[in-house]
Amino acid sequence: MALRDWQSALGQLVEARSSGRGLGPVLASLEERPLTDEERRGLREVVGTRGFSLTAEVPRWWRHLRVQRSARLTLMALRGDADAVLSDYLRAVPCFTLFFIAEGLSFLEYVARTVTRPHVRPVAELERALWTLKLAAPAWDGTVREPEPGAVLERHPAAACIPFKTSPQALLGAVLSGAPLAELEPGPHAVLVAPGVPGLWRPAEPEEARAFEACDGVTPLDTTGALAGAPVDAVRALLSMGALRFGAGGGQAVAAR
Amino acid sequence: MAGGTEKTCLPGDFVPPRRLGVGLTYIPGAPAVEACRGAVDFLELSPDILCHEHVGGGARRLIPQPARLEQALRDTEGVPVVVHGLGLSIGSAHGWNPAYLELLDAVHALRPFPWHSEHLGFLTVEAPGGELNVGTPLPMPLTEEALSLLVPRGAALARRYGVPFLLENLTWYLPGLPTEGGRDEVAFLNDFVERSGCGLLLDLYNLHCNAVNHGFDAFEALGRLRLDRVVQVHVAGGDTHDGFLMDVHSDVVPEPVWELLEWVMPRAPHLAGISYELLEEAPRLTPDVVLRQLERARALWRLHPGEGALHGAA
Repeated sequence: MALRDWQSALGQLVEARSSGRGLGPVLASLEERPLTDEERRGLREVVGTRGFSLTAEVPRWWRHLRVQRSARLTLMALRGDADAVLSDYLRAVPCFTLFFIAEGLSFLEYVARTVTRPHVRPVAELERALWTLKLAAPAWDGTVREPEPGAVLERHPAAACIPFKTSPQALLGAVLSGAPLAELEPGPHAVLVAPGVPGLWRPAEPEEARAFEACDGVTPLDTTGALAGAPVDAVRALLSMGALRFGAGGGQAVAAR
Repeated sequence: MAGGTEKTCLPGDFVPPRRLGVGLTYIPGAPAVEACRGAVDFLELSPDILCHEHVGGGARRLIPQPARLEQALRDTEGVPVVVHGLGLSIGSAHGWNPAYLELLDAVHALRPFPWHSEHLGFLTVEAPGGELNVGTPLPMPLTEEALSLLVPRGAALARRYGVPFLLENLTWYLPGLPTEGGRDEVAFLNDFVERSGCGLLLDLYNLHCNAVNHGFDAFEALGRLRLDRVVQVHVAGGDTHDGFLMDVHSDVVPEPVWELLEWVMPRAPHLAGISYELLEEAPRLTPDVVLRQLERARALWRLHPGEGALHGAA
């Protein structure tokens, strides 16, 4: 037996059934694999058994559970589409992990990328940003730094500023209460996710959103300590919340909360 | 081999660990685990719960989560911890999970364990787009080639940490596993321990599931198993789905499994621990229910002091 090839074939068969993609391509590939005739026959026969069906159901149940536990808000925002979107996700993204948050992040990225239903995308992006921040920055030491001449800024790698097309408080309230999302008043808003924000998120002021947007990559401050299109106060606010930080060597520690 | 404290441990050098007693799955913050802290002699930790997995660029990284690690260390202070893993994918022919080994190294450095164990199976396989995680451990074929893969890996794990490495029998639902010369799971496990110097984590609920699902006599199977290499026993309960008894740790231990345990205990001279496995999401496993399972296991434990105890060991 070529153990490596047998495992590859069986694993792909189980995953294909589990994801709902169908077994056809994997079964067709058996002829090209360095397996014996007996091994090919055994694999073709096993896929018709109840034991195979159950084996393939187990990872599907777990993937459902992982998403349900780590993407609760987004599933609520999806309302009646949640089951269909979850099935689409399982079909589109092969199983890659046993970890709850890793699966949840993958699902949220999929929803943000593919779902067009109004208001779902920012909810998925917010939920994803919160997980990312929790994983990357478990503690915020509160150190605030004052810029020095020539200093450059960069975004905290786990901070985010997410655009919303309606009031984020109203949207999240509607998601949680089950109220209609379509009736929300349209308008540009943003949510800031940063390690120094109590609760990790809050609505962003328009100038803060502009400052975050302006700091793309390593960005130099101007002589007044501002960024292009964003005033000093907004820059200081983002620095104080850890959404922005100084690049290597920049800034001077002045206070610790 | 990188990392870890290595000690000389040649094949056949099986050294049984000291007896611990009755244990329980460690689940941070689970009410049943909290309530039963005074009723257990050891906790069984799955290192995966201490970290987050990042998969990207063709590589897996397990990123320790400091808060979880600190909580685990706090919760298990003063209690022996044994390690039970799934993420190593010890049976994957294309290679096991090196990120999991690094995690195990880190856990061992923080909280040395008297033994550690893995499921007999494989989780990851090669696929056209890269490595695929099947999402559930699949059984190994009962062949010489599979043994040739597992024996050096088991021996290497025992050397790496200087404590016994145990392989756990798996529940599986697939019929007709490839085999050679009539070798069944029992013969496979016996060959493994004989050649590797490793031990066994005998999951009696898994054995019961397989006996029911595949129609064999669990007592007959146990009668052929190298019980002198059994270091730990798992007991658990589960559910039935589509006519199959399933390994889901969602219920109390069924009577047939208690009967298997009663049969095994006087015949397993190096048994060092019995642990009850539970699933965090199982609503039936309230603290009182779990406590009763532990009490019943302890009553059996006390009846059988074991070879070490007869010679004055701890």
